[in-house]
Amino acid sequence: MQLATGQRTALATLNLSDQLDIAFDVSGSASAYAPLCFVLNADSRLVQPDAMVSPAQTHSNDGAVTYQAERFRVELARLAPGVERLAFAVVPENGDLRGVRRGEVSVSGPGGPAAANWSFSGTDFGNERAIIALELYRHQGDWRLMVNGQGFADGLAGLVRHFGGNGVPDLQPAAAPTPAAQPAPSGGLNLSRPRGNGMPASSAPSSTNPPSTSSPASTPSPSRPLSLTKITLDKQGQSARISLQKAGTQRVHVNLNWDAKPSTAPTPSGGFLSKLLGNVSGVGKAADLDLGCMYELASGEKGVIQALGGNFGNAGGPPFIKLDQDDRSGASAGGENLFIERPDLIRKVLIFAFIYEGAGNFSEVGGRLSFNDPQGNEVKMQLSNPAALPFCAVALVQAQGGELVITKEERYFSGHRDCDEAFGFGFSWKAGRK
Amino acid sequence: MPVSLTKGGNVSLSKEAPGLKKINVGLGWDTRRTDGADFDLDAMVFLVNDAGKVRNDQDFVFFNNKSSSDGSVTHQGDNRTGAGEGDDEVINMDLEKVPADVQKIVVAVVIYEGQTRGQNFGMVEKAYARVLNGDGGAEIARYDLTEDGGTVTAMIFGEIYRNGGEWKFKAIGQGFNDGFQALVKSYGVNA
Repeated sequence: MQLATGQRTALATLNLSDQLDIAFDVSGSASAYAPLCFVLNADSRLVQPDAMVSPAQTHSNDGAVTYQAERFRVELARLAPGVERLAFAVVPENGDLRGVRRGEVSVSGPGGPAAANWSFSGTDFGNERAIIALELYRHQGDWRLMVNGQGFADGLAGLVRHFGGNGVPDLQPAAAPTPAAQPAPSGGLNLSRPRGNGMPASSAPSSTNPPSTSSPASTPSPSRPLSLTKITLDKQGQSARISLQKAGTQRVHVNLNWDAKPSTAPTPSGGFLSKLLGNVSGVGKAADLDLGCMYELASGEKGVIQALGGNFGNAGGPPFIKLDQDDRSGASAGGENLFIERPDLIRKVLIFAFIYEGAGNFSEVGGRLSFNDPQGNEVKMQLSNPAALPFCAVALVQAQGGELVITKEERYFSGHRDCDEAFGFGFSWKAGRK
Repeated sequence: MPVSLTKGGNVSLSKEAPGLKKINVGLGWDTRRTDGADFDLDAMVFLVNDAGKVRNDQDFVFFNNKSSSDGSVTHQGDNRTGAGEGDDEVINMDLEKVPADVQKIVVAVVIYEGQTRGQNFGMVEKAYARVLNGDGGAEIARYDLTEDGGTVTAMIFGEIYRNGGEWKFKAIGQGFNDGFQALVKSYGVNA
């Protein structure tokens, strides 16, 4: 039975009972991959500070877990009272999990064929330098098996801390018999053993510099925004979509696209779209739609960004809104793009589109607007109303109570001035030309 | 005495808790202690008609829509890490206020971005969903997402449905391999 990460199953369903073997077969760029077993109580804490089984410490205190040649043998019935869980880990020596070419942990009856196994490779991991592979645990009277598959960038120290211990034990057997660990003079127990003669240093951090248990070394996920805002789409109009995404300060990408309109004298290269649109009316010139916005920042700063007049905005400073392309024909697959780099700094942004030339109305050329965030969320709007007016206020983006609300407007105007009056930005207008 | 749920099992809420007027759905889990993105579980409900679809998008109550159109169902807030004691997310339902054309209330749990983050219910510690009497807080039914949720990122926990004059709860425990989006669309939400 091939197990997936996160999978849990009763040992009984694998026809396993009291005695099991947990075997490790891991190869990759690290000089060694040390297997390790933590002997734990019901709260996943070490039952004693040194309750670990490894190549350096081949028996648990109760003798129920033994290690030999990449394999742990477990006798569940022999576990001391209070032992409710065994966690089996893999710690690369001088390397991280990304260097694993092929890894497999298998569970079997003693000496028997594998009843279950978990396969992994370096691509399954980030910068973990130690992982918990499998766990055996008692749940409501039954022993169960799970694939954990999670770990720690700070390696063995993270593992030991996770299970309530402190310090870093050696995992490789010493060259000569060594005395038992001595308690550290201050703080928790030091689990390190004196190093044997000529043994290579462990890849784990030195025990003379134990990690603080009060500040885990885990790093916050880069995908988690600092500002906990979300995008919500106000559901006006049938083409509106609900945002299922939680968004933060990540930039919002606004795209306007449309279909190039064929000239009235079709050319051989007109192709598929030309045939589809071959009977539309209008002047014999490719449609030029322009994307732009009127914005008001939380700071009170106001302005207009559009290709007309060359106001392309600024991505690196206020208003942190940037128009990146003026697609004169609709031929570019990318259309026109506006990036709101810092949605957390805006008060409102009105996204508009207008027909500069070449089309009678927006629906004639299939005008469509989309919003995207880096998490792959997309809100699409189709400009479907064949109003004869050349200017469309498509959507209003507003910051409201820590959320970004995108409302579909699709209101048509004769020009910028009328739109401005309707939305109350209060600009003064003059004619411009590209 | 909470009812231990098995898939497809029915609980008559009116019989388990006579005079039941309000119920709460609670979702709880432990914060992630290993490295990696937080486990962000989300509780959500769909108020659906006899065709099994929402009457409108407002009847999908989740982190971006905290109240149903009629106000009968309210989401008490999004928890993104599992931090805190007890239930980490709660949805309140006032059964007397549920409109007559809402035939059932489907309760689902999703791991936010679980697929892209490589997460599933079995990786989350101490995750559960439960149904409580809104008056007094007695637990009526409970589902262990950690042990029984499997390796999916979205699951229908159960349904609260009309049966004659009373409300019943049916445990479903059906995972959705295709995740959040597929789950939401299956109830007719425009997402």
